[in-house]
Amino acid sequence: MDRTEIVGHLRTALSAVLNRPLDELAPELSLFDDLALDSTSVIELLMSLEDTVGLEIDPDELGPEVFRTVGTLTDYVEAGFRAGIQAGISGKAAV
Amino acid sequence: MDVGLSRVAVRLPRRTEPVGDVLARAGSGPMERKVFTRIYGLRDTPTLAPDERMEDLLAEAGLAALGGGTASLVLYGHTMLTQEFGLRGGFADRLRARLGLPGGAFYGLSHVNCVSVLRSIELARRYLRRPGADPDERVLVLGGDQGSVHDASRVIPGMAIGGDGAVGVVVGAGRSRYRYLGGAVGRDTRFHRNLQLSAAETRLFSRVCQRRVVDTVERAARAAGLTADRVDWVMPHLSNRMFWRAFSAESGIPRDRIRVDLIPERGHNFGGDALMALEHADGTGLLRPGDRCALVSLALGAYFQAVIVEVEEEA
Repeated sequence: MDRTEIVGHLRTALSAVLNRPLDELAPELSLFDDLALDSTSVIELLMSLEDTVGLEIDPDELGPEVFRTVGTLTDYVEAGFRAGIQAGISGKAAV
Repeated sequence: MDVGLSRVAVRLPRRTEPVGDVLARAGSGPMERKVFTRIYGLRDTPTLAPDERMEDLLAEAGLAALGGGTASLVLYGHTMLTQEFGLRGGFADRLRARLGLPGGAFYGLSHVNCVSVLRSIELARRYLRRPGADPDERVLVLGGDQGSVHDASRVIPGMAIGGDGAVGVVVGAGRSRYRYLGGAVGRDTRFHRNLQLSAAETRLFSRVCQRRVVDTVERAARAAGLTADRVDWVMPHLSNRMFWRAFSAESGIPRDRIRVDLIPERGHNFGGDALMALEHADGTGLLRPGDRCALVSLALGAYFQAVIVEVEEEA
């Protein structure tokens, strides 16, 4: 999954959380100030992405820097998604 | 005049309960349960069995802290305003009798939610320093609430679950296990509606809370003649791991100096958390004489409290 697809999934998930359509999702948008989210709703959004796109959340890596903007959240999701793929590959290799 | 704190006595019920079960009974959905257990790291919460009473835990913690000694004043810091033992009447008299302090003064300290126990330590220190105080006087500080009295009242949405644990510590003049170095308080009355905050207020609270806690710890460290980076250990309010990861990022204090290791098995126990973390760290051999520890509490309302103590060689 490339970054464009990840942004697409994020837009869908954010629309569901905010209960309104989102056409554009500029990376510099602040999650708290511009989108009026709080940390709990962002965490719930990430957990929903675990179920839908196979994102692997590592709670120890989930720091406040993730919650700053759409861009930082996308970075975290992208890294988590790649880690999930890598873990899958490693798991298959082990078998 | 130096003021010291004794070793902390902790008394817990004999069983715990899965946090997910409490949340389910309180009406939380699967997603919220997942956030609490997976992200916040909250697994179990101490819960009284039907044949156990919170009053017994408080008495046992107090007796253990007194260690056969006495106290001229007992301060009981609590978060909940209505508790089962309080409704039965005569609570203070019963507890004084069980503590062997029938004539002693006994006060409850409330309305500052979960900072009530650390606030009691501050008040004890001021009491001991009053003009004309006997240098041998001691104050017993007790803390703890029965969260399990009602599932809905023990769930702090988006933050933590309160368990049934009791703590006791003696504050006295002179040498003890921990030397009081300094402290600081903070409050932000924009959040005075506690659990009735609007969605916008809740968002604001989650945003400002970390900064206010960091600010309080920094002020407490300055009051102790230190900077926050010279604090060896943070004994936190054991609300959830997520909060303290953010605190570490905001304060620059490394995560491995913030003792959150009790969170999975014990979680949040109202005002007793920081003292429980201190007791656990000391009991497991982590602390050395000279170590400086920041005891930290925060509370809905919003209130913030930090106390800096230094570990001393015991006589």
